[in-house]
Amino acid sequence: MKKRRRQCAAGFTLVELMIALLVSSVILSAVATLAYATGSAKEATDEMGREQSVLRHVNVRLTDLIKRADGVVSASDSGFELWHDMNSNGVVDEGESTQVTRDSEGDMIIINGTETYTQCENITYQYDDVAPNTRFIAIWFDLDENGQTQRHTINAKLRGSGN
Amino acid sequence: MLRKRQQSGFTLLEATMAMVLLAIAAAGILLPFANAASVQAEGAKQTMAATLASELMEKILTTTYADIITTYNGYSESETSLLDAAGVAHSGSAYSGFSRTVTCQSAMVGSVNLVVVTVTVYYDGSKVTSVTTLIGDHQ
Repeated sequence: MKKRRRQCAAGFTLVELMIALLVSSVILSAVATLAYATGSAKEATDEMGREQSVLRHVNVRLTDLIKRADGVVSASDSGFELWHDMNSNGVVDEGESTQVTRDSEGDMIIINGTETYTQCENITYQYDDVAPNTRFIAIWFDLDENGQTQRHTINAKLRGSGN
Repeated sequence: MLRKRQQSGFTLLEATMAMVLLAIAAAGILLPFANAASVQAEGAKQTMAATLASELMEKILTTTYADIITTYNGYSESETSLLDAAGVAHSGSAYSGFSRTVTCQSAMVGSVNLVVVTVTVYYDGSKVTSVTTLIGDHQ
């Protein structure tokens, strides 16, 4: 009897095993929590990066278009048409106008019917004057920022000489 | 006999050393992640500052030349009253903490009258960016 007990003592006792299990489960749950937190942080950072790149792209694209324009052909609540006098003849020729519009729900900025920015919503256009006297254009739109809607605005003055 | 059995486990020193090593390793793995997030936020802040600066500059450019200095010299917008193109205050967390100031100075280049306009954007009171433009009377 005494000999058998000693043999048992060479392995783990039930208490030792339980403690080891408890400790490892605590460590594992800590690691899992950390991994989850890192994962969601990465998702949030990715989302923020995407939103920022859309904002930068739309901003640079539209301010450049407006600043270089020589005139505004038409301007309404649903969009406007810019004129870039590439051959300097003072007339709006074929291919010299660029349309900036939105879809029927007021979402998605559309440039020339093909270039779209789907992340932009609730778009409004505003002008200092009716076309063709428009010299200042302001654009408002919503962007989703990690579940929060943020209103952004872009405005620019026409630098071209034509009217 | 009892003493010998106790010595077969870890000493406190060994356990502490293991914990310290583990903590250093964990910090090494997690710090870059925390850093990436703050770099991203810094980029967003810079973009917003540049946008706010050019936004106000475009507004000044549309002002009648004769009125620029009287309207905008010493002009400032506090952290809660950044106005957009329609004169409405910007709202939302992306705009919080930003403020803007404008200084205008008349300058003579040869016989041409010009105005030097500087728009400065601050975040939490410290300067983030500034934009300077020369405006002439050619409207």
